[in-house]
Amino acid sequence: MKGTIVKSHFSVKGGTGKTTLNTCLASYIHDQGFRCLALDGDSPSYNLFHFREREVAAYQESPEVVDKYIMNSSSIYPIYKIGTDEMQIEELLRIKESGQYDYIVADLPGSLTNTIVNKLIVSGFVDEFYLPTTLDKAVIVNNIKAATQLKKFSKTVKIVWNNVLFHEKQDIYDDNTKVISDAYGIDVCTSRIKSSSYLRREFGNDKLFIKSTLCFPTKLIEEKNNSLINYFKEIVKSQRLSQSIGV
Amino acid sequence: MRFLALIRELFFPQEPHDGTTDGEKVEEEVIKKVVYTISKLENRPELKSDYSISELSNEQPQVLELSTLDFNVSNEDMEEYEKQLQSLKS
Repeated sequence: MKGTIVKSHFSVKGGTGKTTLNTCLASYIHDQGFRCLALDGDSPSYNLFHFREREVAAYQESPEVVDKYIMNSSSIYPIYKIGTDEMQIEELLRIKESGQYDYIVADLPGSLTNTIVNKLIVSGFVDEFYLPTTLDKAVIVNNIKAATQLKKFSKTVKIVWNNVLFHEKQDIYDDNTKVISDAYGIDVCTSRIKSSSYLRREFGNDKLFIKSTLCFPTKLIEEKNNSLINYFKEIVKSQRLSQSIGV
Repeated sequence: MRFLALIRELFFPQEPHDGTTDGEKVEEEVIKKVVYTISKLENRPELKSDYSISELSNEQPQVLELSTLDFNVSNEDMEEYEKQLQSLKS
């Protein structure tokens, strides 16, 4: 595979599923055999980083889960925190340039209070931004504004409908998609991601398992909510599979 | 201005321009390129390896500042979106 591709789900507004999608995307990419690195720049909460810690602790207390799932996993992808050290920018650019990973998935804060994160964005470090958007006018307009800005620095910037309730009329999404693309020139992903409530119902609120960074259940999710996996296939489809070297 | 003075000192330590219009132009051009290069390298370190003078001379000096990331949304932005949505429906 030629070069490292950096992908990031990004949102100015909270509650759009940004971190969950970044977590699941990194795990999906790793599960597909790509070499993946996850970056957590969403300080001070660092939810992605701490999720891995909690997950490891939880599985250590449940040997049966380790036997059932983790042992089937041949390798684990690393998760780095982006801190406040200016030198990290050089280091991250070096990692990207080295091509040691096929993909880097970056979870970045929407508030942009971290100057390192701002500099990373402005430097063009992120190749592809995906902005999870719910059917809320404030979220839509905020993400249009953010997408317009991000297009200056990244070659791919797309909005993706998330938390879609499929019993609602899809015409509403069609209309908003048309305005976003025609009037504002922002691309919108073809796939629409179902509300996570569908998954919670299927998996009995086992959130750890649904977005596991250790043993992502791609096949199970594909059976229960193929909208998520279809979406991942859409945004990873252009890159060919390479042999994972493990990490 | 202190920054420009420093550049002058670094690049023209013993040979300040000769006071002619041409000399002044050359000096200004070099300063522009240095400022532009520094600004680009600060924000785009990955460009270090593929810089060329021709690129520099063809582009206008431009500094990508953090302030260019403006995600603030105004009431006008909200109204404009609503207007676009309504015009689609009508």
